[in-house]
Amino acid sequence: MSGGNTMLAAKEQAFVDLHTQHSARVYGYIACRINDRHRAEELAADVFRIAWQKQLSEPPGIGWLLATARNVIGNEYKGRHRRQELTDRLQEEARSQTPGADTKEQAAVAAVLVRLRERDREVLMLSYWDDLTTAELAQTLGCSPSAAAVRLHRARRAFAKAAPSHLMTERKD
Amino acid sequence: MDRIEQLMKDAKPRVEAPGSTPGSHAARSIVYSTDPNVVRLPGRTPARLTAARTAAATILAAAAVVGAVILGGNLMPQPAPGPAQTGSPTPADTASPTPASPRPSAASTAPPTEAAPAALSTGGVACTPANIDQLRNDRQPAITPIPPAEQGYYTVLGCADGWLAYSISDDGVRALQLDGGNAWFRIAKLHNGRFLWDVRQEWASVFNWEFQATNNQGLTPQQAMDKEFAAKGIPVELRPRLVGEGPAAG
Repeated sequence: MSGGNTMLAAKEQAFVDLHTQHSARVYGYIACRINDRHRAEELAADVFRIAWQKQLSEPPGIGWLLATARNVIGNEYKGRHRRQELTDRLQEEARSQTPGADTKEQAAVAAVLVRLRERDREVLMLSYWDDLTTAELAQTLGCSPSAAAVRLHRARRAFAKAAPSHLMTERKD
Repeated sequence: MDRIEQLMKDAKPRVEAPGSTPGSHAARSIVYSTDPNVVRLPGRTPARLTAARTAAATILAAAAVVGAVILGGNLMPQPAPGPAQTGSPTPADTASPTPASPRPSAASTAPPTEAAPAALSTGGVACTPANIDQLRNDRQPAITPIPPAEQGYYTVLGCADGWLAYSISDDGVRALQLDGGNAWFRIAKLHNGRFLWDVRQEWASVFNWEFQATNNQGLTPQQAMDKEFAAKGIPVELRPRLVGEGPAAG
């Protein structure tokens, strides 16, 4: 019996460490994509509940956690609803800021993002909003690092093609 | 930093720290702390940091459910360590499903949607992984059947009235590089003589029993599953035949 308690305590500590290390990034991933902060917290908690229940032999990395977060969002919001959530989120962000040159540029980027295919949009967001390394990106996408790099390259090309030319020209302040 | 990276980083929404929504973590803690099955671990006090409290509440709830899963006798079978066999017993077919009990024999004259000992079917189509097509959208926008070599990773849970529920094993998601928690059952619908799992559809997935049991809404697993069925437009009355009865009350 005492052995069982010791094992549970060790697992609990490992879980708390996992949560401490990654909860902010998991929450940030979700909160960037849906326009409901309370629901984002709940979904982030769902990710860690899944991590606990899966009883993985090794603590999962950020890639596994974000892949799970993506599935949790996907279970909650399907297809066009997911894109609408992102659109609403970005519009809410724009509304909360003081209008200016920066906000116009951000609005333009948002407009480009929602037009992209979801796979390209997701790769760009993972790389530049969630600050994933190539290895972490690969784990999140479930592919090899070289495949992840190729997907990022294609996503960047898609962005450049969809963006108006003035957006791609660096502002000279 | 190149232009695209600069544009993307500048456009990133600002995210406040979690836990600033009033009552969210406290509510979760309250739900689990009133559960008589919850065992308090030493050293935890309500005054702990919000993040640790959330983590601990999650652990306590999950540990209680794990205990119930181990001790309960009327449960869905857990995914096998290796690829699941096709046509394996599905608890939705039986009145009192248990992991080890054989399925009761049923008359061959039973309605197509009723359980048969050898094969499930609905709408005249056998409910097997071989008859499931998948539209995964992101990685594979085309509709493709489950390759024969991969069918062993899938288990049909039940089918009725043109609906089919199935799961993929943890080994399967790892082998197919789909791993992202695997906390869901997949739902497919009969379409032109085959079952189609369309990831774009609301009804394409529901949380599995393991996860429904730890809902933070104070619902039984069955209530939580029924609620999700209803929310996603899956006939609630079919739930027992699709995904079974779930874990016994703890």
